[in-house]
Amino acid sequence: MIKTFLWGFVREIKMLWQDKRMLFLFLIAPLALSIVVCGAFQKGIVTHIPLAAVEENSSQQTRALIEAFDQSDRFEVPYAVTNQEEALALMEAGEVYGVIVIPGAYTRALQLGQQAEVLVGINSANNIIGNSAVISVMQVVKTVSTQIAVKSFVAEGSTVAEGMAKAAPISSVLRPWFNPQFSYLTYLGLGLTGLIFHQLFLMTVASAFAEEKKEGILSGKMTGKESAIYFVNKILFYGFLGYGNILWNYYGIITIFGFPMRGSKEDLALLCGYFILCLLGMGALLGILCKNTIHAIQWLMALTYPFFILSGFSWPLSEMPTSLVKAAQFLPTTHFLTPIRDIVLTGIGFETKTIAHSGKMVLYLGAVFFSMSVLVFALQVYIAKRRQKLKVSGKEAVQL
Amino acid sequence: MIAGIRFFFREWIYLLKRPRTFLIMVCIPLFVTWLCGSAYEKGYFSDLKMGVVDYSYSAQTREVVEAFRQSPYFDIVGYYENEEQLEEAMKQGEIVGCLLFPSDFTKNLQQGRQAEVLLGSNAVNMSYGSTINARGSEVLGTVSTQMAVKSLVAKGSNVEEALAKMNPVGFYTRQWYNPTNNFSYFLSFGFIIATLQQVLVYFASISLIREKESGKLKEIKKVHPVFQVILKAVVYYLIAMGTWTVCTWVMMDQFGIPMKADWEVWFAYSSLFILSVITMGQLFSSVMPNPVFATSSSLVLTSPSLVLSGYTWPTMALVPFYQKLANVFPLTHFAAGYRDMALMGTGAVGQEMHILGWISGSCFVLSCIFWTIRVRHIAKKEKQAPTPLVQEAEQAVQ
Repeated sequence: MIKTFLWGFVREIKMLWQDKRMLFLFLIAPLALSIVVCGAFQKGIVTHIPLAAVEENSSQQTRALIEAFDQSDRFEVPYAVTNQEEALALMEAGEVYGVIVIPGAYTRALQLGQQAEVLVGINSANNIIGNSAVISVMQVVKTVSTQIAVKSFVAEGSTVAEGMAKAAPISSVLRPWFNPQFSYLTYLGLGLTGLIFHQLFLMTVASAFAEEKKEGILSGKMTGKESAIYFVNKILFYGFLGYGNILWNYYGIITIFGFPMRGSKEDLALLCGYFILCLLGMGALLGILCKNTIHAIQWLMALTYPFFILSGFSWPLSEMPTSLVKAAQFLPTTHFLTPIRDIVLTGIGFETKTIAHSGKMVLYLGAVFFSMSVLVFALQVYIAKRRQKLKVSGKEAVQL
Repeated sequence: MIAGIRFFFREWIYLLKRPRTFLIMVCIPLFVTWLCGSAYEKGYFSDLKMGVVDYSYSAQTREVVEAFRQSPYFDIVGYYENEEQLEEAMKQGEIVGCLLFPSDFTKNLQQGRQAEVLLGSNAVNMSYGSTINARGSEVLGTVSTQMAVKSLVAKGSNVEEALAKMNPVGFYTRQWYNPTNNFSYFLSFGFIIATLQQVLVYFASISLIREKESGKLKEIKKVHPVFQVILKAVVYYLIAMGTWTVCTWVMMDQFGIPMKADWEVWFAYSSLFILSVITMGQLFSSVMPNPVFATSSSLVLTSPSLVLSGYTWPTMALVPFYQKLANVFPLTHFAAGYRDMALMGTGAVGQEMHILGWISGSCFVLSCIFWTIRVRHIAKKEKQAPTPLVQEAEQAVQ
């Protein structure tokens, strides 16, 4: 029995080594794809957003306002036009992301001591870029406005500080906690790494089990005992390799892209371990239930985006309808993608309710998937053996 | 001609006999459409939980807090004693943002100095962070101007004069094409289109190679390999276009997501995208050694396409290498362009359609060439060394 058990590992290594596709998908693709995906966000924030300025009546004041936008890191003003239609056409053509409309009465209003108005339109088809651009627009216009007000107060005899206090009694400081650069990479990188690993690891485990239907432990050509031992071998083999692989992936991504590791490494390792257990059960179940590898890939590919949407990683679960929140509880991604980001970036761990709950849920799900996979496996082995027996007896009858 | 028609219906029968195939091809994109519509139905954030640390508890700080309480975007959960408690509450998920008044806040205001307030947000999720920053800055700006105007009015100015003096450049921002800042407009198109691409590339990449794998190339030898490619592409195009039409209808009719473009443009643009995905899948199918390889490699290669497509993260913010790489994927030329077209009415889709046309054309030509060579090579091989099964059949006939 020990010999069979040890031989089982050699068998797994051989099978994996012979299948170069699986070897690539399992060991190389997760980190390679994560690097590609995270690399896309390496600039972190969007700068030099192109704007078009509509100057209905050009003057020193209007040029000063445009100059203020152009000098800001966030914007550049490559176009100055004279009417709104032209600016809108530029926006629709994708040349600019926003428009500053400075009405004809702008300069006159300032000279007469009246409030001058400016319209800043931002293309908000992409909300996140739109929102952060709006904040920067507010900052630029506010700065210009305050400068003008302070100058007038200084001209009346106030000091600059007094003028500032009169013009803007409250100033605000924005502090994006745990992501000080307000970086897209920080926001998405860790979760996308988890999702890529989730899909590829499930594909590998499911393929490994589905392939056993040809000649292996699910073909009915082995004894029940052998099948059970090789099942354990498979789980242990992919479990250990998968665990090492996920840790290696996170280590690689955190190191290469400089994520701050604020939480405990042990908590990260523990949650990754729970996640692997859960995925092993899920992958095994999928592989045993599917007719072949292609079917398993089909389902995984089709469900990539539902897994991601329901995980609450991009759009929080608190903003989703209750029925979807309930459904999301049955997915491992829900209890892994956001918690892993929280461990790394906010520094929380299993002492908090949220991470402890996630850990528990992943374990429960893992237990359910695992039990189901063992049951289905036993049933499939039984059916395969019966089929094999019938085949053999049929052949014998023909020979007789 | 008859062989071609037979081949066309043969493909339909193959798909119809496999309900799982249809389930995935038709129902999964529809399911994702429904999922996006339902999950993002609310569309915007409201009642964002905010905590307050007030080291300068006074009527002025309460006025600021009250302004946040009145805003539909915020919900003031409570006061905390210090910054550490605030951070802890944020870590525990009790709050997603905060206001912090330093101890000299009221004193500064009373003495005519500028007072500072900190607006914090949990920026780990940027959807929260960007909304808190944008809406919170608006609230604080309004309160600040109110206070300044009040002080001048108290000195005898009227409100207009005071406003002009304190805030000489007033501005209003307009969020064009998505005025309610609805996240469902932003996210839904991307996920649905990416799902359609995944499903389609999968089936296209299996479509040709499965004929070789199942040993049925002889059955279809009457149809020229080029026509095999064309007819299969037509079948998948019809299914995908039908599914996409229903998805568009569900988005518009059930979830109120706009489609401002002309239907002719919608049809042409969608058709080119679908054709480019199909031909790309067929190219994989004609080159790869077996269906498992064809499907896995096409899926691995297309999986980063949504990230690189410029849909969430604009292409202009990508490094040049990624910008070039992104151009290979049909999704880059469709997802963001489609969203702009749907929300803006036109968008710069002309050039994108041109590129999609090029991708479709080149992938189609290459798949035809590779598939023809392959089919001929297999036929030649079979002629040279007839398989035992063929030999047996020939013997039986004799």
